[in-house]
Amino acid sequence: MDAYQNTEDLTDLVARVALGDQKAYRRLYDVTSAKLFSVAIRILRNQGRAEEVLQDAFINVWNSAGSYNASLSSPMTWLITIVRNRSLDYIRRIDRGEVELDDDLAAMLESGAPGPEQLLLRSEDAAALNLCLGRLDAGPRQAIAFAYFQGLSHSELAKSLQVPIGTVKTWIRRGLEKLRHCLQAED
Amino acid sequence: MRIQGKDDLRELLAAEYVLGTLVGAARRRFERWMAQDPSLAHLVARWGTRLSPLAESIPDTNVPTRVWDALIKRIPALAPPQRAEPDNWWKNLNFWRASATAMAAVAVIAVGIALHDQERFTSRTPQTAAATSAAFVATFSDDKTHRPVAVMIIPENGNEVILQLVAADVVVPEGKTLELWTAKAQGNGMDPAGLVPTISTSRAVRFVVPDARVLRHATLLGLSLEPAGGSPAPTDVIGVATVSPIAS
Repeated sequence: MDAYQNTEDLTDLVARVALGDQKAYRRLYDVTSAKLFSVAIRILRNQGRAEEVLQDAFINVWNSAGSYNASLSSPMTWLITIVRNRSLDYIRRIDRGEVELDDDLAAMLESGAPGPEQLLLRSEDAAALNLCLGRLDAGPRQAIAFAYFQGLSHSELAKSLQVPIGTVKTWIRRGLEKLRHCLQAED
Repeated sequence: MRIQGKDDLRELLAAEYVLGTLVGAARRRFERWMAQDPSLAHLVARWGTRLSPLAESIPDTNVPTRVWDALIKRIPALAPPQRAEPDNWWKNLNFWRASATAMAAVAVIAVGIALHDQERFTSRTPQTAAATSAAFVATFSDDKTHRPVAVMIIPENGNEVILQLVAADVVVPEGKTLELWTAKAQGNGMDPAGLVPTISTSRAVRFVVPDARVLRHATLLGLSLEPAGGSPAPTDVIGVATVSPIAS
């Protein structure tokens, strides 16, 4: 793992970007863009769109690094949020057609909780999430994971998972509630 | 706010906002609430943190270098000076002028368009002028590769022009528009000269510019990709061109 993936280092980079440090900006891009590109590709299902979103996201980072609040979220979470929100806004504007579920993700979810290979246990947070997702029933777990990774809406999830939309809404609502209680207990 | 005090609902909306299943008007409304309610923003940040290990677990994908190259051109403070200086366009332009192959390629296309539209243009051209020139052509080329990108025909009279994209890989993404620019007569910079309507599958579009005279008399034209609605200054220039008369 790159030494810069460490939160303090990234926080320092974002703080320097906020001051207009161009080298810090390049460094931040170099150490985070490959991960963020993956996040965008999973949702957008298209390399060109993902490139566009990544570009827009990093322009946003340059312009709004000063508004990053280290007490609210880690720099990586902040960056992921920017990329995911832009990707989600993008797909809701266009018709991306039939959405196929990711095979590797589907396999991972069918076999139960994400294993250490898929969900690298980088931190206590990741371990707790892994544990708590594993405690959900398969339906809610799949609905939450596909929504998060691929940006599926309620109706897309209903179609892909072949269940009524009401079931999907219930799975997500109850799943998220359970997840929160489980994660708070793990805190 | 309608969700004030409803803790479970606030948690659920925050979670579904992060997950992405809160969509459309409900999503936009939630963003407005969040902007006015720091504690709601806090809940969203918590959910972002809770779920982000999922995103961090995805294997990396190499990013093409063009993403960074295009990115810094859109940030004035980072744009490479040789790209941002209008002076450099001239240098490139001289190079382009000397590039016989580029000229030949675009000339063929330009003549093709001109012939195709001759009837329409000549009908608007005073007979006295027909002997000298019927129209003007501007061949936009990429100022780095000198590859032709688009050809524009400007009639001698009137404000209706035709733009044809000639580079197959030039696409106008959703939410973007092509915009025309003219070099300022004095000093650096470009003035906006008109937005290009959506280009159809034929890759050619006929449209009316605010004032075609500025195009005919410009020393240099620019064509750029901008957010829908255009920009006060060009952000992503895809081609530059000089204007030449087409002999009829």
